[in-house]
Amino acid sequence: MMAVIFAAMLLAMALAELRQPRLAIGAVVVCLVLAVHQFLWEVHSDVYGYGLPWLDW
Amino acid sequence: MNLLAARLDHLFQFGVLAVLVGIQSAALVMQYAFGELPCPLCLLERLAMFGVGFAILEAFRNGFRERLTGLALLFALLLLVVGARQTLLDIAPRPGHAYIGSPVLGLHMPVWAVVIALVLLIAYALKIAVVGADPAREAGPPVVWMATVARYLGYALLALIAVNALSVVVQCGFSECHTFGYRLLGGAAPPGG
Repeated sequence: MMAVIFAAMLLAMALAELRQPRLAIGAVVVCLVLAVHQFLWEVHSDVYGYGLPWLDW
Repeated sequence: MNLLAARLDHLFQFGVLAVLVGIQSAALVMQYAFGELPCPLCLLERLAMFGVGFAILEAFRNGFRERLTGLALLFALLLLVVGARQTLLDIAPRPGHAYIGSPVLGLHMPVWAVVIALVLLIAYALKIAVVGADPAREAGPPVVWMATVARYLGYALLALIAVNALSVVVQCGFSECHTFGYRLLGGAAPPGG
């Protein structure tokens, strides 16, 4: 998934370089949505959910 | 006054772009020269900084617009959230959890991500408060030297993203990224595993 996210950002930069601003913005928005999804997946735990119980000192 | 505000806006965005290119270059030096493999959240932090850079480059290419400022702010916010979550993950020492990588000037990478995100958000807030969200709309393009250097910074950012994308494929393949080496080079297993 991380490879797809970086590929989307690379595509957005390439499209911007090729003077395709609408497509570039579309690609970067897709990249942003995928990045948020990836972040939520990374920090979710089967045990703790999204919680941070180790901070309950 | 409009022209002065526009010039200040151009200078601000140019400065942010230059700093982001510097930070991303330093991150690659840390990765390849000092062998500090990025974790998944570290990669998302890099991506968020690329997003801010993308928005600024689009402004230099196609005109400064409030929507691009909004896009930059969204990526800066993503950087703050990811950096803060990663900092909280390792802030209390416990088995299997420690800050990844060496400290730079006493701060570890996730803490630097929080600092960079806060500086970006405060800088954008000050910029909007002082010169407005889009003072350059009617004031024309930036001065020639700045536009030229920004174009080259854009090429540098494009190259940095390409290297990062390739590096992510070598490190993670097309699956999750919890590796201790470069998966495609046979080094993904944990130490002793």
